[in-house]
Amino acid sequence: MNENKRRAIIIDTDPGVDDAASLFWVLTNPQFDIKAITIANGNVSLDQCAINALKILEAAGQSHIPVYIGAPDPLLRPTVDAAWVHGNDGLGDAGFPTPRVLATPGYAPAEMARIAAECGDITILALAPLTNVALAVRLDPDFKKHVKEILFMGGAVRVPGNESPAASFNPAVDPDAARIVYRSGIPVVQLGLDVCDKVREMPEDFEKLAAAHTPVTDFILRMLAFIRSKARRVYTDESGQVTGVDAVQDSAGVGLNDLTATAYLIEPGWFKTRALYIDIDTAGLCPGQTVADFRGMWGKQPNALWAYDVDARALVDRWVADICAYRPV
Amino acid sequence: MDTIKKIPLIIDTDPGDDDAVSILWALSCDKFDVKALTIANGNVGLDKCAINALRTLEVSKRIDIPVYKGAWKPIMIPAQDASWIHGEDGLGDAGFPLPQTPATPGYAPVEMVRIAKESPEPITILALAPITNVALAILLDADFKNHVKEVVFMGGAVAVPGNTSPGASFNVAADPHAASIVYNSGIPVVQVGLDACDQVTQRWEDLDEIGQAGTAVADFVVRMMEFRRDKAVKIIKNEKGEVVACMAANEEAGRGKTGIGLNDLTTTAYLVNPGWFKVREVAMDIETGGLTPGRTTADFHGLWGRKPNCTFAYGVDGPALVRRWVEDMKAFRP
Repeated sequence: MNENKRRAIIIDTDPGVDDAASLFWVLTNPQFDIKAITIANGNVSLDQCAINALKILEAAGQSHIPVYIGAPDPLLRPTVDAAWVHGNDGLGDAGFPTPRVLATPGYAPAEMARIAAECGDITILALAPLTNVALAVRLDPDFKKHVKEILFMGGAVRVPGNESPAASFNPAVDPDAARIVYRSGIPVVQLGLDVCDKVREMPEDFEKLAAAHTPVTDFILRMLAFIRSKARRVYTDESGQVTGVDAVQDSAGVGLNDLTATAYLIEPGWFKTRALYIDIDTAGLCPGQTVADFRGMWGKQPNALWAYDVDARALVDRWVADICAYRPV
Repeated sequence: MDTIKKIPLIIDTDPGDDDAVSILWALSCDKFDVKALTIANGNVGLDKCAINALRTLEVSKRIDIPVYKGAWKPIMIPAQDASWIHGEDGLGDAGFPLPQTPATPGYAPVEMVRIAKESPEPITILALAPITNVALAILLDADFKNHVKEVVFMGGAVAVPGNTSPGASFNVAADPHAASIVYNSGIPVVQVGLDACDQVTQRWEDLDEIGQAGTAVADFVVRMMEFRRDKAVKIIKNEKGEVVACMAANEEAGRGKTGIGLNDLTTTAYLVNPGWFKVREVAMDIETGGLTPGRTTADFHGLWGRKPNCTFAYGVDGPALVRRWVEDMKAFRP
């Protein structure tokens, strides 16, 4: 493939099992020129996320891609994690060996701005709280001119949130960063729970991965054992009575949300989208809520493409096929 | 059939053309014992709303029902109105004569508490306006909540856009703090908001059919609706003064040119026949801060660890509801 035709991307991520599944998918696709993986605080701690990214690159045989560590905390608020989903080590506590390669020196937002300026037309796949991207927006006034679009796994417009009743995890962890990004002028494609909730990876999909029996499929299956059996969160009222239960694995399968967002990079034709003005609530009952102005009441031009439907089966079939076919370099 | 117990009812209202037709519908049904109309500041100013309530009672020949004026502004925020859809006078600027009956002396929240406590059965409150009065009644009397069966509220937008801001519907946005007091009071709330109301259309032929009845009530309804039908438009401009959006009453919720949506009527329908609705018990709270104050936030997955405080209506048999309303209006000859 002609080097010039490859699409330049940065993946901002907090691996995280669904981040890992997504990173593998992008790594299997030669049409992407992955300039860097930037690490955000999110699903687990910053350092653990960096270690996980390096483990993934090693398993894929692509340790040449630089990993830059980003901001350790959200802009204004205490950090929140999602270890209940991802395990304490973020990769399902499967005991993967420590990576041999280290993270590359440099601050993720600064490197992001540098790479964007060098490429002039970068796509950012944002699978984590948007702290790093917001800092890059603030560091360099020209950054926004160098970014083609941000594909963001986050938001919940017509569906309930998964971190609070109205907000999804990534914008809920750093609502202020999300607001900076959405108001920056960079086009955002919001690939949030409205589409992710429609996609389920099924037991038969995992059977196909198992049958392929490659280093990458083995990694993915070991990593997913935790969320397929143990990941569970119970909500109770003051008297201890259960008011709700969250389980990543339900009767309909497993939902690997970052994979759905990544799918937009692979094949945007799987999605139905609508151009809208979306703002981020930073106060109130559910900070991080993505509020969409369907009727133009705020008098703003659209700043986002909101994905509201997806061809779930095509997406999952393609992921399975791509992962099964991949042999580490 | 005096063995059938009527539902003791207070209608808290800000007429408003859709309030007026809702009051008419309630009065046409034998099912309700309407104890009072309590007037809220909302669609138009408090005094205009009281005048319109009295006009509606005169058309219905029910001036025996007291009309009490309530709070003149929201609890914490400046008043806003919805005259763009209801007309300057609230009843479509149709030039109806002023009523001959005055409002009854007394403050609406105080009278609401008194009526609730005097009623042998807990009362039902049909709340078709910003719920300032109900909130004040709750704050006035600690025992009030034990005398209220439920508040059936026209307000809220959960899975659909708001009509006053992108996230909030008018009656909640106009007094979010009052709504917060009511929803957190312990009184069961039935939320019949835009999620259900957006599914109901009164078609032009429905209005024409009522008009053909030729009664005083039919004439009142049809004349009042001419404004909403033909003239109600809200222009939205950006900072530079450019027009970016244009809302028309007959285009709200994608109704196109087929008809209009009389939201209060859908909420009133819940009392006429709850069987038309699909509902779900849920913990609901009211946003008083943030980008869209007055947003109703539903906790479908129990993340807040609260017991349900609200019956949320998310589906409705619109055609059945409208058919029954048309028949009842045609037959209503006070």
